[in-house]
Amino acid sequence: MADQITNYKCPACTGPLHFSGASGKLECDYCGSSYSVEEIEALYEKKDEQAAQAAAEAEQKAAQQPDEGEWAQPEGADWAEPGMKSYSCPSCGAELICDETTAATSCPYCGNTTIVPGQLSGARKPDYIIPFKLSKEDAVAALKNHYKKKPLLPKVFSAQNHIEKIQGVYVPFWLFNGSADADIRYKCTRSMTHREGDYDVTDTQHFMVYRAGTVEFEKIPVDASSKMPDENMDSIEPFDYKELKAFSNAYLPGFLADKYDVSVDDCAPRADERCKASCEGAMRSSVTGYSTCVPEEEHVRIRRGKVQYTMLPVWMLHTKWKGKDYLFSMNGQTGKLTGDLPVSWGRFWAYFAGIAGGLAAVLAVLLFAL
Amino acid sequence: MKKQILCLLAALMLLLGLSVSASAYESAHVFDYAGLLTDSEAGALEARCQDAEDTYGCGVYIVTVNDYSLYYDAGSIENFSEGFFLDFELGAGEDQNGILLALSMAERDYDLCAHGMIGNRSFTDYGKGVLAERYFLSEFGSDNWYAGFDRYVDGCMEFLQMDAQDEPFDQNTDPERLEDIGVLKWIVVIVVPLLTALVVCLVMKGNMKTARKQTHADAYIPQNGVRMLRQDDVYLTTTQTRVKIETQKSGGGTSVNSGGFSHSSGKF
Repeated sequence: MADQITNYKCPACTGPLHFSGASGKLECDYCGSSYSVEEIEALYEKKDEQAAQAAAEAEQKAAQQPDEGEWAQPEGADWAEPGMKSYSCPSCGAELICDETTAATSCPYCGNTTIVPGQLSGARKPDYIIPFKLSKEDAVAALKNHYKKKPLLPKVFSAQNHIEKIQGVYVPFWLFNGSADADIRYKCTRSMTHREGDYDVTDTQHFMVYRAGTVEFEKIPVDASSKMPDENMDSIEPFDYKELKAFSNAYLPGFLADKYDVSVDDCAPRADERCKASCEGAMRSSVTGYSTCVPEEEHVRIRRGKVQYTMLPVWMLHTKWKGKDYLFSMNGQTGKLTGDLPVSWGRFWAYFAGIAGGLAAVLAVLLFAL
Repeated sequence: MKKQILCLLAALMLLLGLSVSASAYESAHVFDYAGLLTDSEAGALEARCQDAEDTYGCGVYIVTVNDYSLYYDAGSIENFSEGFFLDFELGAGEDQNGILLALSMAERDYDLCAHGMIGNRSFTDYGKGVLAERYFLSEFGSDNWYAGFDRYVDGCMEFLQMDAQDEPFDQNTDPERLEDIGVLKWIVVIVVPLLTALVVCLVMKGNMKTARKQTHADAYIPQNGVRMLRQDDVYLTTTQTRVKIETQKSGGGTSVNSGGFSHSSGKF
């Protein structure tokens, strides 16, 4: 279990270090020095070894737990370390974690600027993390691009929301590992039509098709933050798990981290649902060469495996427009961005009238004048 | 004179040899062997048919029998109409222009048979269909024989008048159809743009919403993560359906057979 050191200091000037997604290094704001994570971790070898060992132990424990119909809960270490601080948002209830060099000025979920600082307690340390790869500039550019080619977007919306306030947040996720066994019976038909004199004759062959199999699943992400809309997180999937690393506080400087508040059990139905749908899809895709295929009997059994607690990088911007909340999220690793935009009904009806009027005029000329 | 003698002989043959109603009426244009009309009704129709022939040079005829198959070894009511038309030397002018409506009561068959240049030009395939549908079928369906024949003569007069004005009744001159097409055009001009604009605008509105829940986990199936344990396809049976191919005639005009006749027949 890691017990201390979260505030990484520059070996040259002792200034605070922050992680730069662009360079993939820890950079010092004061003297400009930069260090790879490995170099810094070597300096803090002992503590990091302890942290890595704790993470490995947690993973091993999770792997050893047999699946007997329940998702194996991770046994994370306590994250309440010196040098870590937390902020809570009185508006939406979000509890944000950061190192003492990072100042949180507003809540990334609801935009509230009066968030309250406090001491971190009762937080579970994540098993893994994917570090930010894209910078704030990348996020701002992606957001500006998101506003383009949206004819129904109110002009003043993009002008009035302050996209430079976009914040990098490590969002808590449960990664579900398991498999699903399927045994499905389909009723299928294959039709062939030929002509006999004045008749179209259709011969339809009827089949009973059986499919059974097993589908493995690795790291299905389900966000463990009640404040984060599931739609937003689902839409910025997938993350590249090749860059998944054992969790280290070295990746936190410059970013906020959200503390999970939705348990594995509460997230499990979503993982189950996705496993079942994909398992059914995999079986169905093996039924080929038929005109129709209707499942008649389905049995899907989910074999629940281990669950990993992971922090995934998300750039977030919250804004309000005419009393309604809008939350934009960008995958901090791949740049995939999502967020619903407001619709200008004036523009909607203007386009409607323009298209309908123009088309009516063309059709009137074609049908009556020519 | 010869024609009248032949008519009389033929009528005599029919009366003697076949089952002809006791109240059968026969004149130059109306041959009611099934006895559907009173003498006064038949006389009134005869007068109108004669008037049509005198005005437009095309005979308008009515023939009713109990069972067409007893005449001329006719295998169909079309054959009967043609046999009757030729046997009685019907038609006006050298071309034997005429339109004949034959009713056979046994199976409630009817046939509209046109002959000659004016006959086939005035009564196109489309026109004969309209004549039956709009003018007399509904009356015959209710056993209103005189009213049906009267409407038939009305229709013939209208069609012959249009032909006389060099605008024979057909798909492109049918006032009702043209009116329907006009209404349809307006519907197209109004409804299609509204629907198109609505679809386009709803698609644009849909593009404003990008956050959607995932329902599948396909991206998290590792390579070789799908193992099939059973794949059985069991054949059960074969069924067969037969659908008659509907041949739709496009365009207008009249389909004339080798005997110079054109027909439109059916049940009433």
